[in-house]
Amino acid sequence: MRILRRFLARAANFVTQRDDLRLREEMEEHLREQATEYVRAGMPRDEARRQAVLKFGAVESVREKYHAEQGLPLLEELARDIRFASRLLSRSPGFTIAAVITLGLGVGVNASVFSLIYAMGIRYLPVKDSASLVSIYQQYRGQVHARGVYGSPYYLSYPEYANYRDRNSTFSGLAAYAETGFALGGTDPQPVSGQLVSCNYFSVLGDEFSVGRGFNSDDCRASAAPAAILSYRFWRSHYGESRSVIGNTLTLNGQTVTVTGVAPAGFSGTELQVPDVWVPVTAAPQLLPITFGSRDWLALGNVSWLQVIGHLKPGISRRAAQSELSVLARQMDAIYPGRQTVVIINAGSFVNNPEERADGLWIGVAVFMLGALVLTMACTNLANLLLSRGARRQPELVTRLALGATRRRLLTQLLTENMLLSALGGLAGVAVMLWLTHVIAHVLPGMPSGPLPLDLTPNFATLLFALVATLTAALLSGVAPALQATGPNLLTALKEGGAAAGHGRRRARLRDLLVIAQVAGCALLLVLAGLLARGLRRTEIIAPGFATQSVYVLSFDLSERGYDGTRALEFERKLRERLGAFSGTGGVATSTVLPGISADLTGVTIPGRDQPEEEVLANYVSADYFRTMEIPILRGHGFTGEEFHAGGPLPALVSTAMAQRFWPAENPLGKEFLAGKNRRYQVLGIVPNVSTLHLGQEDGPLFYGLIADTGAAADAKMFLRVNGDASSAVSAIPAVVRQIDPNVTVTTESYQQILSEQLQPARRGAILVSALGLLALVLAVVGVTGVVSLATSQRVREICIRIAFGARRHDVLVLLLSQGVKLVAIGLVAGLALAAGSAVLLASNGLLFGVSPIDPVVFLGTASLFFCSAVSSMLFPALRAIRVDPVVALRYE
Amino acid sequence: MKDMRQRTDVPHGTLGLMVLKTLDVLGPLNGYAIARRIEQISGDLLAVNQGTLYPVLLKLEQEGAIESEWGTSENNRRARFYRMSRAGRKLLQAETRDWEQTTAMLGRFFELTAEDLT
Repeated sequence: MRILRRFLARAANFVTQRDDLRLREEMEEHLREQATEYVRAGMPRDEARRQAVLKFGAVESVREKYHAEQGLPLLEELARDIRFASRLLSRSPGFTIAAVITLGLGVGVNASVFSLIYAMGIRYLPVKDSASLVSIYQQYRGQVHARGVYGSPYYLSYPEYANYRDRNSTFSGLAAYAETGFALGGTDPQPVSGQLVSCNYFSVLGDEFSVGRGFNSDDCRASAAPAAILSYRFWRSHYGESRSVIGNTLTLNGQTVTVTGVAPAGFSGTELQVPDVWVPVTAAPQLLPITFGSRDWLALGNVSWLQVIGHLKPGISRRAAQSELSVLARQMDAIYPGRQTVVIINAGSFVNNPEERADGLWIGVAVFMLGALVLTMACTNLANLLLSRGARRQPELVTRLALGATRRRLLTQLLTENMLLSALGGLAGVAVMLWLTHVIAHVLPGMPSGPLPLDLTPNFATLLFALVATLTAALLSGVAPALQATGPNLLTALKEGGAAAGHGRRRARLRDLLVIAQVAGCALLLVLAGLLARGLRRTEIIAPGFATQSVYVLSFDLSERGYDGTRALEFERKLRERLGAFSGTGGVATSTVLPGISADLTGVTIPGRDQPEEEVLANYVSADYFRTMEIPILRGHGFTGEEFHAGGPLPALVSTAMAQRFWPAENPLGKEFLAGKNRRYQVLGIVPNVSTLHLGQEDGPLFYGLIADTGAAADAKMFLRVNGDASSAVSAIPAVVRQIDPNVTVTTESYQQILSEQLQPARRGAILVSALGLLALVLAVVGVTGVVSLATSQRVREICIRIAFGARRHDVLVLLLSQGVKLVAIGLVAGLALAAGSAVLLASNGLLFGVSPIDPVVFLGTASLFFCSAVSSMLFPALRAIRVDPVVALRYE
Repeated sequence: MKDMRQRTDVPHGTLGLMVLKTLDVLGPLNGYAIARRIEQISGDLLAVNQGTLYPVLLKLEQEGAIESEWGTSENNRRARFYRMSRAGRKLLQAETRDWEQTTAMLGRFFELTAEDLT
């Protein structure tokens, strides 16, 4: 209490800048009374005054103590330091600007990375009442019955969703959606992004529309003509915000849909890819590009294709909802003996699928590490700048020390200066963050449907992060140079005179270390950036393991035309024969899934082995699939066609991953396995691992069966690989189909175009990572140039003496460069070694997408790029130094 | 220099206690009068460096233990008079008790002889 009162009184005095007029008056009165008393005792007047003053003690010391007691001396000192520091900084604008930019970039990049991760993984979705919004996913334990996957295995089927929706008591609403692409228009279709959504999707997420209405129960009857709700953006770009859009029709994937409403301007849905069109989930049979045995998507109980979100009722925890849904899931599991469904409920943010969250965590950590490296580089640069500034300021510091300032005092002052610089840098960092996140969300290429729907406005968390990053940077970069500048050898420096002041060996060593660290850090960053960028690029150019170039995907409406499996098989066989007869055909085959996007999941057991069923991927194809898709057969042989009616086990080709998983020590050829419960397969051959489920990610165990053995032929896709000019072959397709059955319609799409939409995130990632690497390179070159030019300028006297004594300029140049080159070389070797280590770590987490962790292109490229830029950056100050006229320089010294 | 300091530096915190006691016994006084009383009672303690009294007075005032206002001194001049506050009286009581306990305890230690410990 007393202490608080005293503090408040002092703070008040500090703020009001109270002076010590009162003290002076009191002192004067005191002295007068004392003197009067002495005079009364018989002392002469002058002597009395003198004795009174003596007795009072040192007036200045009393005033100082009084003043310290009155105000807050620490704060006063700080204010003085800040005033002094800002004067100093404004007097050397070059240094200040360089430091602020360096720090701003370092802090800004990190804060941007953080706010992106925050916006994607932590911040709630930008919808109404987002705090109570959660996402629902499923995972399976035990025996998995052949399950179709469209998107991610964690998604739900429609019956599963309906079961949760209708029978829960913990949610105020549960909505489901599936992301898909549509071909808009009849003749020259344009790709648009879309979502199939449950009828209540809009009522769960806000139920507001710019014009028109949401889906009603009529729109959601299976027999209804499909309705569509447009995004605000699509409405503006295609209809110019015309209110008469309601009732207009669009052609999506060849189907006519009727516009019933337009979403509000701020509504971006629940995925990073903002849809252009929302269509009721009941239209899935007509609109989804693939099928799983049946077109009746709403009846398929064991296919993962829907993502589910819902609002928890007030006061209900995620845990309570999770246990309720788990009970409901058990009833679904009863249909699939041996399966246990695990319900996963996450808070509603953009990245909420468990699979994405796991991947995202690693990618986030990797990008964060890159960001931290950039910040470290910025700190090293700043430390170097401060160090050389300290060297130049040594005369000033020495003088102040000689005039009685304490070392502590000098240190606080230097640190204050550094803090002020950091504060400016931090502000610059926030500006960089605002700009960079805007660029990332809006300007990066490749988003057909506009900017990312991320809320990137700075909030408490991102600003706190920027503050912490700034403080860390300030401490990292400021303490060592400040200690060095005020070091105990300061007074010896005074004796040596200003010229030698910067020459201390310790200082030189610290600076060398900084250069080495900086080069190492930058090399590490460049290599990692190079590897990541190459890895991401690889997903785009080579990765999937099957042909995508000049491949066309043909889809038919066979089930709608009443085809059963056998008739469809016959149709496809005929079509393959006719297309195969074209002169430019490289191959033609059928497959039940679209490799790169979807796969089937099936439980596999080995007869005679007491092992639980294991989940593997499956794809059912026609015999010439491998030739068409250019997948080599590594061992054994492919489907010959003779097995079709053999009666024994069904033929299968297995991937190397599957061979290794089930027959690690045996020859898999000829071995048998059971898929599901009833199909017995025999291994004919082994094929390499490809990326069927996700591009850029090699499949786990996978086997190929013949489509003829499954009865799923009516929903198969046909792949046509064309050599040379594709347009004539493609344009001939409809006519060929009509010859076989005039009722069947065919849609032909370029495979590469279908797949390229899957690659946008990877492409963005590659751009981002390369940008970070380049930033690091710029920082490193700036840093190395600065250090070398300082070191050179301090050696001017030595150089001049050498030249005066007859050294050739060429030799001096070599001498100057060799020192820098040595440092760069040490740093480079250390950095490359570190990079190799981290790359092995990244590769073991599957983040390099198959690029070797010691990829020679990246490593050699980095080394040479770095070396060239470093040496050329050193050349400039060195050349300047040897051109100095020795006579002039020596006289000056 | 060192010598002088030893003689004049008042043990930490005791000067404040003396001021409080003085004001408690004698009522409102100005700075000079307080200094004189302390000098008289404590002998040499405040014979020089009387000025150190003023920062202590300010500290006590900022803590709320004493209050001050301008008044008129004996020889009819403007002077600042210090007066005990309620909080100061409480503080004095507490401090007095502490000191008595401490001195009593130390006193027993100083009286200690070798026999007492065996």
